[in-house]
Amino acid sequence: MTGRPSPDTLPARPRFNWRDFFRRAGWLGSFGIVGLSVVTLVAVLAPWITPFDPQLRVAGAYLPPSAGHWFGTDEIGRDLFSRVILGVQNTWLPALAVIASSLVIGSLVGLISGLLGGKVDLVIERIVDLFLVLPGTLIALAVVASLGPGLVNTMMALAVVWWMWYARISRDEIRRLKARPHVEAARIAGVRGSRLLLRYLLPGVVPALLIGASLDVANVTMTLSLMSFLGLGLPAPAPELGAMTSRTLDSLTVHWWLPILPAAIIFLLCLLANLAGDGIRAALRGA
Amino acid sequence: MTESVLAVQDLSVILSREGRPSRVLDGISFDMFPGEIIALVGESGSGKTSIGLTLQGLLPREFQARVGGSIRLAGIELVGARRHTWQSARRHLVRAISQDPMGALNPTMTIRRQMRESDRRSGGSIEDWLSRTGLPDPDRIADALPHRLSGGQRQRVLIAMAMMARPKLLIADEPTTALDVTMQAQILHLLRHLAHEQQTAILFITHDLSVAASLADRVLVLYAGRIVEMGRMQDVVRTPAHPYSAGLLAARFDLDSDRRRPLPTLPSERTPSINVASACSYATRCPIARPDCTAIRPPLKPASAHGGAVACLHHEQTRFLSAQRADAEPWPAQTIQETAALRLSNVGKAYPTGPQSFWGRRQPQPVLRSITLSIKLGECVALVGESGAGKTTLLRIAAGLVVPESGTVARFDKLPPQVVFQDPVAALTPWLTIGEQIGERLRAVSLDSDYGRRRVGEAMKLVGLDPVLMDALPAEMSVGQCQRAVLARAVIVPPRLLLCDEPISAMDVSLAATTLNLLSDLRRRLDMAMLFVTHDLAAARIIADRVAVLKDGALVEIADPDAIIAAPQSAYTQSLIAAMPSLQPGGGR
Repeated sequence: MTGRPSPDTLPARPRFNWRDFFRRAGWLGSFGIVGLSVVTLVAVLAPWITPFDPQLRVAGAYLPPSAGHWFGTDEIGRDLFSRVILGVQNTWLPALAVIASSLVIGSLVGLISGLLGGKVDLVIERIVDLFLVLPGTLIALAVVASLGPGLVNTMMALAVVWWMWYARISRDEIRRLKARPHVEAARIAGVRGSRLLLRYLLPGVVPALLIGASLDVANVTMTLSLMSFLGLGLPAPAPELGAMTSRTLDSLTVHWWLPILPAAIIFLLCLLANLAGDGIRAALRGA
Repeated sequence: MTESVLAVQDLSVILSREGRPSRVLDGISFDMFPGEIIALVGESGSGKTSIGLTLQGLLPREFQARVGGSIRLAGIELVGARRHTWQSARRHLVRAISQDPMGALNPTMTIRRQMRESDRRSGGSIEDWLSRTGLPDPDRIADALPHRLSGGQRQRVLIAMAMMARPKLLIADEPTTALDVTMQAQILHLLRHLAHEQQTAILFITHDLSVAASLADRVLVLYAGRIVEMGRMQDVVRTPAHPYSAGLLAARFDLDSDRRRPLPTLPSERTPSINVASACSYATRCPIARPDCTAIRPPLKPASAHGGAVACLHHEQTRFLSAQRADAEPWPAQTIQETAALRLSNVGKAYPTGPQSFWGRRQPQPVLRSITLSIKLGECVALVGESGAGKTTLLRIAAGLVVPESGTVARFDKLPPQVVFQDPVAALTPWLTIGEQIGERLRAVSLDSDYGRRRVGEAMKLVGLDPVLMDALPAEMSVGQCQRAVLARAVIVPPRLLLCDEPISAMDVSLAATTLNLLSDLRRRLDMAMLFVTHDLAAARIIADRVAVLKDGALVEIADPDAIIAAPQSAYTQSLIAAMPSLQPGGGR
């Protein structure tokens, strides 16, 4: 009887493993996750990697896409490719910020609601319901209209109408976990208060929140672009993908690249975000 | 001899989990004849459910099953068959009933519509089939939705649905595990009757040898994906030829088992890491293993003990096994003090049920009526009753998890009682290590300190768990190890009262006997009082000093276990005892 491990030897601990993660995410999901990471990197590094200064005239106006200027030039001869890269920064980073703040606000509200239960839960959930039935985009538009246009105001307005889903998710997860035998067993073992929350409840809530957030990124990006399209984002000279599309829409038939290429990048961003969301969901559910 | 309905030849199945292929079935060969009932017996993970699924062509697709060998059902070769061959086989030839009848019924369709869906060509009327399975008022049942029916009724509906198609083969995968004993006896009787009347062959998958013995004509004993013994049911029960079958038989307990000493159990747990190509997969647990057992894989050969076949090189030694068993040391005498560890007086509890109306409150439905029960220090009381009797509610009141509406609960100890739940895997938090969870009750001590780790290690040794597993996650351990971890958490600071909620109901025989032994040992060593909730009268008798029988929320009887079994006072207890399956043919006592 040689070479047989005894039944109680500990198998190698499955620490977090990227290869497993990507295998469970599937090739489309992995493509989305990698693509989105690249986009984030581009967004952060945008000022340093643009081939031309996006604010200056570098060539003749209305040049179609060519080898020198991949996306062509705009009405005053600025390089459109450089402007789109900066536009990715102006669209993508605010979207992440909106998601992050909604995540924090929403999960806090949800945790309180789910943990305390009873009357508090009832009241909080009705408030959440109230926010959910209001037309979010319209409210955000109204908020921006009253605060005045600008990127920070737009982000705040969006966060105001965006946190409810995270409150719902975290509340439901907490309530589901609270009824599970392992949480009850921990309680019988004498675990209370913040220790119960931090060690036994929160780790179970995080995957659901992450999945929700990753599937939500595309929505936020769309809405942000929509608001810029309507003129409520960054003021005119700053490149933002939605605003670039809207400002040049009337030249669609003459200079097609001006509205189409920024819009195509929005489309690509949202596609990547959805693929990545699906991938993350598959990977975390499988874990 | 009649033509066989099912001929399985050298069937092997390889499933891939996460890209790693593993052989779950290997060299399975057997025949089934019309009207014959074959029991497929084995512990969890032995591959018995995989056989059932393979015969229906329903192995989960994500496992990329590779099936080899041959399955001939009513003369049709099914291995490698096209999709529509399988579909027509599933419609007309092979039907299945499962452990979870609710999951097998569509919650949005009436029973009548589902039965019509299941068999469009048959002439037999639905009501006729429902009443054949012993369902009263078939008209009402046919028009009901599944959630309106009880568990036993649903299982009967599934049987009616399966038999209506007049299949050649019925696969019954643990169909009675979720049911009460009285209901189980009726379902078994029904299956036997239908097999005889319809000449349907039944493959009955179970881990419970006594259930198998009361029903089947022949038995296949499965271990690690291979048939280790096959033969006539009564032969195998009387003179098992494989040491594993002998161990399974010795580990089962019934109303006649010796309760003064530990139950015999199978040695340790199954180890998956054996080179099965050139070794007997049971060798690592086998009490009579010799060196050649790990060098040669034993083929299935005619047994000397009976007319069947056995895969063991030394099967003529097996009969000496049972003789060695009886001399385990008896339990030390237990001192029961007069002080009560738990005293419930006139405890009552009702839950609101029925639809919620906007204006009024819902009608409360009493679950417990005026329960008076006390457990003395050092005493073990078993609470027996069928599902819905209020057993779990009583346990939760004793634990302080539920507040009773009336009556008082008094505990001797300031320390809250500890609870062992039914499902040990669900009672452990998946993302925390075993050591962290066991050490949770030593709140003052950090687990990082040497003292903390030593205390956890001692608790793990106490329950028979290797302290190496301290840093393991629950998912890396077997069910038996999880059960021990749950117990270690409960006893690291020994409570005066331990509450067990059906701790063995989901376990196979060997693991159940091991757990009963462990609980008996711990309560004596740590001087704990114990409330043991179960639906299994045999288990209650073995572990408890007194047995309390609960029926519809009221205690109908409480006495010494052997007194209750010898002379049951209430009609309900009598029916519980009568429904106990036994190894004798025909079942019942």
